[in-house]
Amino acid sequence: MNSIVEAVAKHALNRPTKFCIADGKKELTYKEYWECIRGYAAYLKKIGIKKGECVVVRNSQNVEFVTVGMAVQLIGAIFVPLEKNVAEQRIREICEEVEAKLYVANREIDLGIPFASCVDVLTYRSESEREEFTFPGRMDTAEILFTTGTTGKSKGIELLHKNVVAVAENVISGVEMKENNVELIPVPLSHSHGLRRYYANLLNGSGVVILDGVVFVKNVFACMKRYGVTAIDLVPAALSALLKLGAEELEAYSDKIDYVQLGSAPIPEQDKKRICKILPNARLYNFYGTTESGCSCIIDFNRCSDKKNCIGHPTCHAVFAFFDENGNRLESSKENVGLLACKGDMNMKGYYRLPTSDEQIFRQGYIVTQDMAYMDEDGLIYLVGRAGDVIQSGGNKISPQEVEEVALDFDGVEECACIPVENPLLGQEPKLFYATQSGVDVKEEALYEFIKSKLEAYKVPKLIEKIDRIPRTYNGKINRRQLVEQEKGD
Amino acid sequence: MDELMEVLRQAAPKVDWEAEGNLIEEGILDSVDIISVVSELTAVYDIEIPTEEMEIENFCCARAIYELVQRLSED
Repeated sequence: MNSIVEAVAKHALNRPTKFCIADGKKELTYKEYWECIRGYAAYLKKIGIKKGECVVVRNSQNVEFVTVGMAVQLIGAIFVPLEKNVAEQRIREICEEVEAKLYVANREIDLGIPFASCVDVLTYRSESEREEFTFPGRMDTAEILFTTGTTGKSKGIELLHKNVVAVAENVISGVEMKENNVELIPVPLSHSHGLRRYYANLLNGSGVVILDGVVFVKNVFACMKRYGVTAIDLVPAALSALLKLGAEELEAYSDKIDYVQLGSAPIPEQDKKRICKILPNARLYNFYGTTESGCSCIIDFNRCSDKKNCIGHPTCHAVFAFFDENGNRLESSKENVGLLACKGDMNMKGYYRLPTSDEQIFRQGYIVTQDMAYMDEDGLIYLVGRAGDVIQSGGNKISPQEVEEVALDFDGVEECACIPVENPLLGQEPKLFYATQSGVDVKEEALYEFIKSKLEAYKVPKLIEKIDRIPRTYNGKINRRQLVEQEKGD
Repeated sequence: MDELMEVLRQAAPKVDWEAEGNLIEEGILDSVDIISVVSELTAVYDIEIPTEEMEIENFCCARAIYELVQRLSED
Protein backbone atom coordinates (compact mmCIF):
# COMPACT_ATOMS: atom_id res chain seq x y z
CA MET A 1 0.00 0.00 0.00
CA ASN A 2 1.50 3.32 -1.10
CA SER A 3 -0.58 5.69 1.00
CA ILE A 4 -3.23 5.78 3.72
CA VAL A 5 -5.75 7.40 1.39
CA GLU A 6 -5.31 4.50 -1.05
CA ALA A 7 -6.02 2.09 1.82
CA VAL A 8 -9.25 3.95 2.63
CA ALA A 9 -10.33 3.65 -1.02
CA LYS A 10 -9.56 -0.08 -0.96
CA HIS A 11 -11.55 -0.65 2.23
CA ALA A 12 -14.44 1.43 0.82
CA LEU A 13 -14.54 -0.93 -2.13
CA ASN A 14 -14.16 -4.19 -0.19
CA ARG A 15 -16.05 -3.34 3.02
CA PRO A 16 -18.26 -0.37 2.15
CA THR A 17 -20.63 -0.61 5.12
CA LYS A 18 -17.94 -1.12 7.75
CA PHE A 19 -17.76 1.56 10.44
CA CYS A 20 -14.84 3.87 9.73
CA ILE A 21 -14.91 7.08 11.73
CA ALA A 22 -16.98 9.09 14.23
CA ASP A 23 -16.50 12.16 16.37
CA GLY A 24 -19.42 12.11 18.80
CA LYS A 25 -21.63 14.08 16.40
CA LYS A 26 -21.15 12.32 13.06
CA GLU A 27 -20.32 8.76 12.03
CA LEU A 28 -19.28 7.43 8.65
CA THR A 29 -18.73 4.03 7.05
CA TYR A 30 -15.69 3.47 4.84
CA LYS A 31 -17.78 4.10 1.72
CA GLU A 32 -19.20 7.32 3.15
CA TYR A 33 -15.81 8.54 4.33
CA TRP A 34 -14.25 7.81 0.95
CA GLU A 35 -17.05 9.75 -0.79
CA CYS A 36 -16.43 12.70 1.54
CA ILE A 37 -12.70 12.59 0.81
CA ARG A 38 -13.29 12.39 -2.96
CA GLY A 39 -15.82 15.19 -2.79
CA TYR A 40 -13.51 17.55 -0.96
CA ALA A 41 -10.57 16.53 -3.17
CA ALA A 42 -12.67 17.51 -6.20
CA TYR A 43 -13.34 20.89 -4.59
CA LEU A 44 -9.63 21.42 -3.91
CA LYS A 45 -8.84 20.67 -7.55
CA LYS A 46 -11.60 23.01 -8.68
CA ILE A 47 -10.17 25.93 -6.73
CA GLY A 48 -6.75 25.26 -8.24
CA ILE A 49 -4.76 23.37 -5.61
CA LYS A 50 -2.05 21.35 -7.33
CA LYS A 51 0.25 18.44 -6.54
CA GLY A 52 3.14 19.41 -4.25
CA GLU A 53 1.43 22.54 -2.94
CA CYS A 54 0.87 23.02 0.78
CA VAL A 55 -2.54 23.32 2.41
CA VAL A 56 -2.44 24.52 6.02
CA VAL A 57 -5.31 23.12 8.10
CA ARG A 58 -6.16 24.20 11.64
CA ASN A 59 -7.28 21.29 13.79
CA SER A 60 -10.96 21.22 14.66
CA GLN A 61 -10.58 17.71 16.14
CA ASN A 62 -13.47 16.23 14.19
CA VAL A 63 -14.29 14.27 11.04
CA GLU A 64 -14.11 17.42 8.90
CA PHE A 65 -10.47 18.04 9.85
CA VAL A 66 -9.28 14.55 8.95
CA THR A 67 -11.37 14.55 5.76
CA VAL A 68 -9.53 17.67 4.61
CA GLY A 69 -6.19 16.01 5.42
CA MET A 70 -7.03 12.93 3.34
CA ALA A 71 -8.44 15.00 0.45
CA VAL A 72 -5.30 17.12 0.35
CA GLN A 73 -3.19 13.95 0.15
CA LEU A 74 -5.45 12.38 -2.49
CA ILE A 75 -4.70 15.18 -4.96
CA GLY A 76 -0.98 14.89 -4.22
CA ALA A 77 -0.84 18.13 -2.24
CA ILE A 78 0.84 18.40 1.18
CA PHE A 79 -1.14 18.39 4.42
CA VAL A 80 0.18 20.84 7.03
CA PRO A 81 -1.87 20.45 10.23
CA LEU A 82 -1.83 23.08 12.93
CA GLU A 83 -2.91 22.69 16.51
CA LYS A 84 -6.30 23.95 17.62
CA ASN A 85 -5.10 26.75 19.87
CA VAL A 86 -2.25 27.94 17.68
CA ALA A 87 -1.48 31.66 17.89
CA GLU A 88 -2.34 33.79 14.87
CA GLN A 89 1.27 34.87 14.49
CA ARG A 90 2.37 31.24 14.30
CA ILE A 91 -0.23 30.50 11.59
CA ARG A 92 1.16 33.40 9.61
CA GLU A 93 4.77 32.21 10.00
CA ILE A 94 3.98 28.63 8.97
CA CYS A 95 1.87 29.70 5.99
CA GLU A 96 4.78 31.86 4.82
CA GLU A 97 7.38 29.17 5.48
CA VAL A 98 5.59 26.52 3.41
CA GLU A 99 4.18 29.04 0.90
CA ALA A 100 0.69 27.74 1.63
CA LYS A 101 -1.84 27.98 -1.19
CA LEU A 102 -4.88 27.54 1.06
CA TYR A 103 -5.77 27.94 4.74
CA VAL A 104 -8.60 25.75 6.05
CA ALA A 105 -10.11 26.42 9.49
CA ASN A 106 -13.36 27.06 11.30
CA ARG A 107 -12.73 30.81 11.29
CA GLU A 108 -11.11 33.02 8.69
CA ILE A 109 -8.16 35.27 9.44
CA ASP A 110 -6.46 37.62 7.05
CA LEU A 111 -3.38 35.78 5.78
CA GLY A 112 -3.31 37.03 2.22
CA ILE A 113 -4.02 33.53 0.84
CA PRO A 114 -7.33 31.84 -0.05
CA PHE A 115 -9.41 30.53 2.85
CA ALA A 116 -11.84 27.60 3.00
CA SER A 117 -14.18 26.87 5.88
CA CYS A 118 -13.71 23.58 7.68
CA VAL A 119 -17.34 23.65 8.83
CA ASP A 120 -19.04 22.55 5.59
CA VAL A 121 -16.42 20.05 4.38
CA LEU A 122 -18.78 17.05 4.38
CA THR A 123 -21.35 18.82 2.19
CA TYR A 124 -19.02 18.33 -0.80
CA ARG A 125 -19.62 14.58 -0.65
CA SER A 126 -22.03 14.39 -3.58
CA GLU A 127 -19.76 16.29 -5.96
CA SER A 128 -17.21 13.52 -6.19
CA GLU A 129 -18.62 11.06 -8.71
CA ARG A 130 -17.29 12.57 -11.93
CA GLU A 131 -13.72 13.15 -10.74
CA GLU A 132 -10.94 10.63 -11.35
CA PHE A 133 -7.93 10.59 -9.05
CA THR A 134 -4.45 9.13 -9.25
CA PHE A 135 -3.24 7.99 -5.85
CA PRO A 136 -0.06 9.63 -4.54
CA GLY A 137 3.21 7.70 -4.87
CA ARG A 138 5.32 6.33 -2.03
CA MET A 139 7.98 8.98 -2.55
CA ASP A 140 5.58 11.92 -2.72
CA THR A 141 5.44 14.22 0.29
CA ALA A 142 2.34 13.51 2.40
CA GLU A 143 2.60 16.01 5.21
CA ILE A 144 4.74 18.49 7.09
CA LEU A 145 4.41 18.36 10.87
CA PHE A 146 5.63 21.32 12.88
CA THR A 147 7.03 20.38 16.27
CA THR A 148 6.01 22.32 19.36
CA GLY A 149 9.58 23.49 19.75
CA THR A 150 10.35 23.45 23.46
CA THR A 151 14.06 23.45 22.75
CA GLY A 152 14.30 26.20 20.19
CA LYS A 153 12.67 27.24 16.95
CA SER A 154 10.21 24.63 15.73
CA LYS A 155 10.97 22.82 12.50
CA GLY A 156 8.78 21.39 9.77
CA ILE A 157 9.21 17.63 9.59
CA GLU A 158 8.64 16.46 6.03
CA LEU A 159 7.16 12.98 5.72
CA LEU A 160 6.69 10.99 2.53
CA HIS A 161 3.75 8.63 2.04
CA LYS A 162 6.30 5.83 2.47
CA ASN A 163 7.15 7.15 5.95
CA VAL A 164 3.52 7.59 6.97
CA VAL A 165 2.63 4.03 5.92
CA ALA A 166 5.70 2.60 7.68
CA VAL A 167 4.82 4.36 10.94
CA ALA A 168 1.26 3.04 10.67
CA GLU A 169 2.64 -0.47 10.13
CA ASN A 170 4.88 -0.04 13.18
CA VAL A 171 1.73 0.72 15.19
CA ILE A 172 -0.38 -2.09 13.71
CA SER A 173 2.23 -4.80 14.27
CA GLY A 174 3.37 -3.32 17.60
CA VAL A 175 -0.06 -3.43 19.22
CA GLU A 176 -1.16 -6.57 17.31
CA MET A 177 -4.15 -4.63 16.04
CA LYS A 178 -7.13 -6.76 15.07
CA GLU A 179 -9.18 -5.91 12.03
CA ASN A 180 -12.32 -5.36 14.12
CA ASN A 181 -10.48 -2.89 16.34
CA VAL A 182 -12.32 0.31 17.23
CA GLU A 183 -9.93 2.85 18.71
CA LEU A 184 -10.80 5.89 20.80
CA ILE A 185 -8.45 8.77 19.95
CA PRO A 186 -9.07 11.68 22.35
CA VAL A 187 -5.70 13.33 21.71
CA PRO A 188 -4.92 16.12 19.20
CA LEU A 189 -4.94 14.94 15.59
CA SER A 190 -2.69 17.82 14.59
CA HIS A 191 0.23 16.18 16.36
CA SER A 192 2.11 13.12 15.26
CA HIS A 193 0.91 10.96 18.15
CA GLY A 194 -2.84 11.12 17.51
CA LEU A 195 -2.50 11.43 13.75
CA ARG A 196 -0.42 8.26 13.48
CA ARG A 197 -2.88 6.14 15.46
CA TYR A 198 -5.65 7.38 13.20
CA TYR A 199 -3.58 6.45 10.12
CA ALA A 200 -2.78 3.00 11.56
CA ASN A 201 -6.43 2.17 12.15
CA LEU A 202 -7.40 3.33 8.66
CA LEU A 203 -4.61 1.32 7.06
CA ASN A 204 -5.84 -1.68 9.01
CA GLY A 205 -9.47 -1.14 8.00
CA SER A 206 -10.46 -0.56 11.62
CA GLY A 207 -12.72 2.05 13.25
CA VAL A 208 -11.74 5.36 14.84
CA VAL A 209 -13.64 7.46 17.36
CA ILE A 210 -12.26 10.99 17.65
CA LEU A 211 -12.90 13.00 20.80
CA ASP A 212 -11.60 16.32 22.05
CA GLY A 213 -9.99 15.22 25.32
CA VAL A 214 -11.15 12.96 28.14
CA VAL A 215 -12.18 15.35 30.93
CA PHE A 216 -15.85 15.22 30.01
CA VAL A 217 -15.95 11.57 30.90
CA LYS A 218 -19.71 11.19 30.54
CA ASN A 219 -19.37 11.69 26.79
CA VAL A 220 -16.20 9.56 26.63
CA PHE A 221 -17.93 6.48 28.04
CA ALA A 222 -21.13 7.12 26.08
CA CYS A 223 -19.08 7.06 22.85
CA MET A 224 -17.12 4.00 23.96
CA LYS A 225 -20.34 2.07 24.47
CA ARG A 226 -22.03 3.39 21.35
CA TYR A 227 -19.22 2.42 18.97
CA GLY A 228 -17.96 -0.64 20.86
CA VAL A 229 -14.49 0.78 21.50
CA THR A 230 -11.85 -1.95 21.97
CA ALA A 231 -8.70 0.19 22.24
CA ILE A 232 -7.74 3.61 23.61
CA ASP A 233 -4.94 5.89 22.55
CA LEU A 234 -3.70 8.30 25.20
CA VAL A 235 -0.87 10.62 26.11
CA PRO A 236 0.22 10.50 29.78
CA ALA A 237 -1.63 13.72 30.69
CA ALA A 238 -4.88 12.28 29.27
CA LEU A 239 -4.30 9.00 31.15
CA SER A 240 -3.91 10.96 34.41
CA ALA A 241 -7.14 12.84 33.71
CA LEU A 242 -9.04 9.66 32.86
CA LEU A 243 -7.81 7.94 36.03
CA LYS A 244 -8.76 10.94 38.11
CA LEU A 245 -12.22 11.46 36.67
CA GLY A 246 -13.39 8.11 35.34
CA ALA A 247 -11.43 5.24 36.91
CA GLU A 248 -14.52 3.35 38.10
CA GLU A 249 -16.22 3.50 34.71
CA LEU A 250 -13.02 2.39 33.01
CA GLU A 251 -12.80 -0.57 35.34
CA ALA A 252 -16.43 -1.47 34.60
CA TYR A 253 -15.56 -1.40 30.88
CA SER A 254 -12.31 -3.35 31.33
CA ASP A 255 -13.42 -6.67 29.77
CA LYS A 256 -14.01 -4.93 26.43
CA ILE A 257 -10.59 -3.28 26.20
CA ASP A 258 -8.07 -5.16 24.08
CA TYR A 259 -5.27 -2.63 24.56
CA VAL A 260 -4.39 0.90 25.56
CA GLN A 261 -1.52 2.57 23.79
CA LEU A 262 0.39 5.50 25.18
CA GLY A 263 3.28 7.56 23.95
CA SER A 264 4.83 10.98 23.45
CA ALA A 265 6.13 11.32 27.04
CA PRO A 266 7.09 9.12 30.00
CA ILE A 267 4.16 7.84 32.07
CA PRO A 268 4.24 8.63 35.81
CA GLU A 269 4.87 5.42 37.78
CA GLN A 270 1.74 5.79 39.93
CA ASP A 271 -0.45 6.04 36.81
CA LYS A 272 1.23 2.97 35.33
CA LYS A 273 0.49 0.94 38.45
CA ARG A 274 -3.10 2.16 38.57
CA ILE A 275 -3.94 1.39 34.94
CA CYS A 276 -2.36 -2.08 35.29
CA LYS A 277 -4.66 -2.70 38.26
CA ILE A 278 -7.78 -1.37 36.53
CA LEU A 279 -7.14 -3.23 33.26
CA PRO A 280 -5.33 -6.41 34.37
CA ASN A 281 -6.09 -8.36 31.18
CA ALA A 282 -5.47 -5.63 28.61
CA ARG A 283 -2.23 -5.07 26.77
CA LEU A 284 -0.86 -1.72 27.92
CA TYR A 285 1.62 -0.36 25.45
CA ASN A 286 4.01 2.50 25.68
CA PHE A 287 5.50 3.62 22.38
CA TYR A 288 8.83 5.31 22.04
CA GLY A 289 9.50 7.42 18.99
CA THR A 290 9.94 10.90 17.65
CA THR A 291 8.10 12.90 15.02
CA GLU A 292 11.22 12.42 12.88
CA SER A 293 11.27 8.61 13.35
CA GLY A 294 7.89 7.45 14.54
CA CYS A 295 6.79 4.59 16.78
CA SER A 296 10.13 2.82 16.65
CA CYS A 297 10.05 0.96 19.96
CA ILE A 298 7.27 -0.59 22.03
CA ILE A 299 6.72 -2.23 25.40
CA ASP A 300 3.68 -3.86 27.01
CA PHE A 301 4.19 -2.59 30.57
CA ASN A 302 1.40 -4.80 31.88
CA ARG A 303 3.68 -7.75 31.11
CA CYS A 304 7.11 -6.17 31.71
CA SER A 305 6.47 -3.98 34.74
CA ASP A 306 9.70 -5.06 36.43
CA LYS A 307 12.05 -3.59 33.83
CA LYS A 308 12.76 -0.05 34.95
CA ASN A 309 13.43 2.51 32.18
CA CYS A 310 12.92 -0.18 29.53
CA ILE A 311 11.22 1.04 26.34
CA GLY A 312 10.93 -2.46 24.90
CA HIS A 313 11.93 -3.84 21.54
CA PRO A 314 12.17 -2.24 18.07
CA THR A 315 9.00 -2.25 15.95
CA CYS A 316 8.80 -3.92 12.52
CA HIS A 317 10.53 -1.18 10.46
CA ALA A 318 13.02 0.00 13.11
CA VAL A 319 16.73 -0.79 13.40
CA PHE A 320 18.64 0.76 16.29
CA ALA A 321 22.27 1.79 16.72
CA PHE A 322 24.17 3.77 19.34
CA PHE A 323 26.64 6.61 18.82
CA ASP A 324 29.08 8.35 21.13
CA GLU A 325 29.36 12.14 21.47
CA ASN A 326 31.92 12.24 18.64
CA GLY A 327 29.66 10.48 16.16
CA ASN A 328 31.27 7.03 16.37
CA ARG A 329 29.20 3.84 16.59
CA LEU A 330 29.51 2.01 19.89
CA GLU A 331 28.48 -1.33 21.34
CA SER A 332 26.09 -0.23 24.02
CA SER A 333 25.70 -1.76 27.46
CA LYS A 334 24.44 -0.66 30.85
CA GLU A 335 27.91 0.66 31.60
CA ASN A 336 28.47 2.14 28.15
CA VAL A 337 25.42 4.10 27.05
CA GLY A 338 25.20 6.04 23.80
CA LEU A 339 22.91 8.31 21.81
CA LEU A 340 20.01 6.25 20.51
CA ALA A 341 19.76 6.28 16.70
CA CYS A 342 17.12 4.76 14.47
CA LYS A 343 16.95 3.64 10.82
CA GLY A 344 13.97 2.50 8.77
CA ASP A 345 11.23 3.49 6.33
CA MET A 346 9.48 5.53 9.02
CA ASN A 347 12.36 8.03 9.13
CA MET A 348 11.37 11.45 7.80
CA LYS A 349 12.64 12.75 4.49
CA GLY A 350 14.15 15.68 6.39
CA TYR A 351 13.42 19.05 7.90
CA TYR A 352 11.48 21.11 5.40
CA ARG A 353 13.86 23.23 3.34
CA LEU A 354 16.80 22.49 5.62
CA PRO A 355 19.81 20.45 4.48
CA THR A 356 19.87 16.75 5.38
CA SER A 357 23.65 16.92 5.78
CA ASP A 358 23.35 17.89 9.44
CA GLU A 359 25.47 15.22 11.11
CA GLN A 360 24.05 16.03 14.50
CA ILE A 361 20.82 14.41 13.32
CA PHE A 362 21.57 12.24 10.28
CA ARG A 363 24.44 9.80 10.60
CA GLN A 364 25.15 6.71 8.45
CA GLY A 365 21.46 6.54 7.46
CA TYR A 366 20.29 6.81 11.06
CA ILE A 367 18.42 9.62 12.76
CA VAL A 368 20.30 10.29 15.98
CA THR A 369 18.26 11.35 19.01
CA GLN A 370 19.45 13.08 22.16
CA ASP A 371 18.24 10.12 24.24
CA MET A 372 20.98 8.28 26.12
CA ALA A 373 20.26 4.56 25.95
CA TYR A 374 21.59 1.03 25.72
CA MET A 375 20.46 -2.39 24.51
CA ASP A 376 20.64 -5.47 26.74
CA GLU A 377 21.52 -9.03 25.72
CA ASP A 378 17.81 -9.77 25.02
CA GLY A 379 17.53 -6.90 22.55
CA LEU A 380 15.53 -4.69 24.90
CA ILE A 381 16.29 -0.96 24.89
CA TYR A 382 16.69 1.11 28.06
CA LEU A 383 16.60 4.91 28.29
CA VAL A 384 18.80 6.56 30.90
CA GLY A 385 18.16 10.26 30.19
CA ARG A 386 18.45 13.11 27.70
CA ALA A 387 21.91 14.24 26.63
CA GLY A 388 20.88 17.90 26.83
CA ASP A 389 19.23 17.55 30.22
CA VAL A 390 22.23 16.13 32.04
CA ILE A 391 23.32 18.39 34.89
CA GLN A 392 27.10 18.93 35.06
CA SER A 393 27.93 19.46 38.70
CA GLY A 394 31.56 19.68 39.82
CA GLY A 395 32.68 17.10 37.25
CA ASN A 396 29.75 14.77 37.99
CA LYS A 397 26.89 14.06 35.64
CA ILE A 398 23.39 14.03 37.13
CA SER A 399 20.34 12.71 35.31
CA PRO A 400 17.36 14.89 36.32
CA GLN A 401 15.01 11.98 35.61
CA GLU A 402 16.76 9.87 38.23
CA VAL A 403 16.28 12.60 40.88
CA GLU A 404 12.63 13.06 39.87
CA GLU A 405 11.86 9.34 40.06
CA VAL A 406 13.12 9.22 43.64
CA ALA A 407 11.29 12.41 44.69
CA LEU A 408 8.03 11.04 43.26
CA ASP A 409 8.21 8.13 45.67
CA PHE A 410 7.98 10.56 48.59
CA ASP A 411 4.49 10.78 50.11
CA GLY A 412 2.65 13.91 49.02
CA VAL A 413 4.80 14.78 46.00
CA GLU A 414 2.41 14.67 43.06
CA GLU A 415 4.78 15.86 40.36
CA CYS A 416 8.26 17.31 40.21
CA ALA A 417 11.00 18.57 37.91
CA CYS A 418 14.74 18.78 38.38
CA ILE A 419 16.74 21.42 36.51
CA PRO A 420 20.30 22.77 36.54
CA VAL A 421 20.96 26.11 38.22
CA GLU A 422 24.20 28.01 38.28
CA ASN A 423 26.60 27.41 41.15
CA PRO A 424 29.80 29.49 41.41
CA LEU A 425 31.78 26.57 42.79
CA LEU A 426 30.35 23.56 40.95
CA GLY A 427 29.30 25.17 37.68
CA GLN A 428 25.82 23.73 38.02
CA GLU A 429 23.80 22.13 40.78
CA PRO A 430 20.39 20.42 40.70
CA LYS A 431 17.28 22.21 41.87
CA LEU A 432 14.04 20.35 42.48
CA PHE A 433 10.62 21.88 41.94
CA TYR A 434 7.65 19.95 43.26
CA ALA A 435 3.88 20.25 43.41
CA THR A 436 1.45 18.57 45.76
CA GLN A 437 -2.25 17.83 45.68
CA SER A 438 -4.44 20.61 47.03
CA GLY A 439 -4.18 20.80 50.83
CA VAL A 440 -1.26 18.37 51.13
CA ASP A 441 1.79 19.61 52.98
CA VAL A 442 5.28 18.26 52.32
CA LYS A 443 8.11 18.83 54.78
CA GLU A 444 11.02 19.83 52.58
CA GLU A 445 13.67 18.72 55.10
CA ALA A 446 12.09 15.26 55.13
CA LEU A 447 11.96 15.20 51.33
CA TYR A 448 15.65 16.17 51.22
CA GLU A 449 16.58 13.43 53.70
CA PHE A 450 14.52 10.91 51.72
CA ILE A 451 16.33 11.71 48.44
CA LYS A 452 19.66 11.67 50.31
CA SER A 453 18.92 8.17 51.57
CA LYS A 454 18.41 6.92 47.99
CA LEU A 455 21.00 8.72 45.87
CA GLU A 456 24.69 9.58 45.86
CA ALA A 457 25.37 12.85 47.73
CA TYR A 458 26.29 14.88 44.61
CA LYS A 459 22.90 14.08 43.05
CA VAL A 460 20.83 15.31 45.98
CA PRO A 461 19.26 18.74 45.32
CA LYS A 462 19.89 21.19 48.13
CA LEU A 463 17.55 23.65 46.49
CA ILE A 464 13.95 22.54 46.75
CA GLU A 465 10.97 24.73 45.92
CA LYS A 466 7.24 24.17 45.92
CA ILE A 467 5.26 25.49 42.96
CA ASP A 468 1.56 25.20 42.06
CA ARG A 469 2.03 23.15 38.92
CA ILE A 470 4.96 21.73 36.98
CA PRO A 471 4.94 23.36 33.53
CA ARG A 472 4.42 20.84 30.76
CA THR A 473 4.30 20.77 26.99
CA TYR A 474 1.02 19.90 25.25
CA ASN A 475 1.75 16.19 25.46
CA GLY A 476 2.70 16.14 29.11
CA LYS A 477 6.48 16.35 28.96
CA ILE A 478 8.11 18.45 31.65
CA ASN A 479 8.92 21.86 30.22
CA ARG A 480 12.38 22.23 31.82
CA ARG A 481 13.27 25.12 29.58
CA GLN A 482 10.48 27.24 31.06
CA LEU A 483 11.67 26.48 34.59
CA VAL A 484 15.29 27.26 33.68
CA GLU A 485 14.23 30.59 32.17
CA GLN A 486 12.05 31.40 35.19
CA GLU A 487 14.97 30.63 37.44
CA LYS A 488 17.29 32.92 35.48
CA GLY A 489 14.64 35.65 35.62
CA ASP A 490 14.39 35.43 39.40
CA MET B 1 -21.27 33.04 44.21
CA ASP B 2 -18.49 35.36 45.46
CA GLU B 3 -16.97 32.54 47.47
CA LEU B 4 -17.04 30.23 44.46
CA MET B 5 -15.39 32.88 42.29
CA GLU B 6 -12.54 33.01 44.79
CA VAL B 7 -12.21 29.20 44.68
CA LEU B 8 -12.19 29.25 40.87
CA ARG B 9 -9.55 31.97 40.78
CA GLN B 10 -7.47 29.92 43.18
CA ALA B 11 -7.84 26.77 41.04
CA ALA B 12 -7.18 28.41 37.66
CA PRO B 13 -5.70 31.90 38.17
CA LYS B 14 -5.06 32.58 34.48
CA VAL B 15 -8.71 32.11 33.49
CA ASP B 16 -10.91 35.18 33.17
CA TRP B 17 -13.87 33.85 35.15
CA GLU B 18 -15.90 37.01 34.51
CA ALA B 19 -15.73 36.45 30.73
CA GLU B 20 -19.00 35.97 28.95
CA GLY B 21 -19.67 33.10 26.57
CA ASN B 22 -18.60 29.46 26.65
CA LEU B 23 -15.16 29.25 28.30
CA ILE B 24 -14.56 25.78 26.87
CA GLU B 25 -15.60 26.39 23.29
CA GLU B 26 -13.58 29.61 23.29
CA GLY B 27 -10.53 27.67 24.46
CA ILE B 28 -10.17 29.77 27.64
CA LEU B 29 -10.59 26.82 29.98
CA ASP B 30 -8.42 23.80 29.10
CA SER B 31 -8.40 20.26 30.46
CA VAL B 32 -5.68 21.00 33.05
CA ASP B 33 -7.78 23.90 34.40
CA ILE B 34 -10.86 21.69 34.60
CA ILE B 35 -9.02 19.00 36.57
CA SER B 36 -7.68 21.69 38.87
CA VAL B 37 -11.20 23.10 39.34
CA VAL B 38 -12.60 19.63 40.08
CA SER B 39 -9.88 18.99 42.69
CA GLU B 40 -10.50 22.35 44.35
CA LEU B 41 -14.30 21.98 44.41
CA THR B 42 -13.98 18.47 45.85
CA ALA B 43 -11.70 19.69 48.63
CA VAL B 44 -13.42 22.99 49.50
CA TYR B 45 -17.08 21.89 49.30
CA ASP B 46 -16.54 18.27 50.32
CA ILE B 47 -18.45 16.98 47.29
CA GLU B 48 -17.85 14.19 44.80
CA ILE B 49 -18.46 15.05 41.17
CA PRO B 50 -19.90 11.89 39.60
CA THR B 51 -19.06 10.86 36.04
CA GLU B 52 -22.52 11.77 34.75
CA GLU B 53 -21.96 15.37 35.83
CA MET B 54 -18.64 15.60 33.99
CA GLU B 55 -20.00 17.26 30.87
CA ILE B 56 -19.31 20.50 29.05
CA GLU B 57 -22.59 22.16 30.09
CA ASN B 58 -21.59 22.00 33.76
CA PHE B 59 -18.21 23.68 33.26
CA CYS B 60 -18.81 26.17 30.45
CA CYS B 61 -18.92 29.24 32.76
CA ALA B 62 -18.73 30.22 36.44
CA ARG B 63 -22.54 30.27 36.73
CA ALA B 64 -22.82 26.68 35.46
CA ILE B 65 -20.18 25.52 37.94
CA TYR B 66 -22.03 27.38 40.71
CA GLU B 67 -25.27 25.57 39.85
CA LEU B 68 -23.43 22.24 39.76
CA VAL B 69 -21.97 22.82 43.23
CA GLN B 70 -25.39 23.88 44.58
CA ARG B 71 -27.00 20.76 43.17
CA LEU B 72 -24.34 18.38 44.49
CA SER B 73 -24.28 20.06 47.91
CA GLU B 74 -28.02 19.52 48.26
CA ASP B 75 -27.77 15.79 47.45
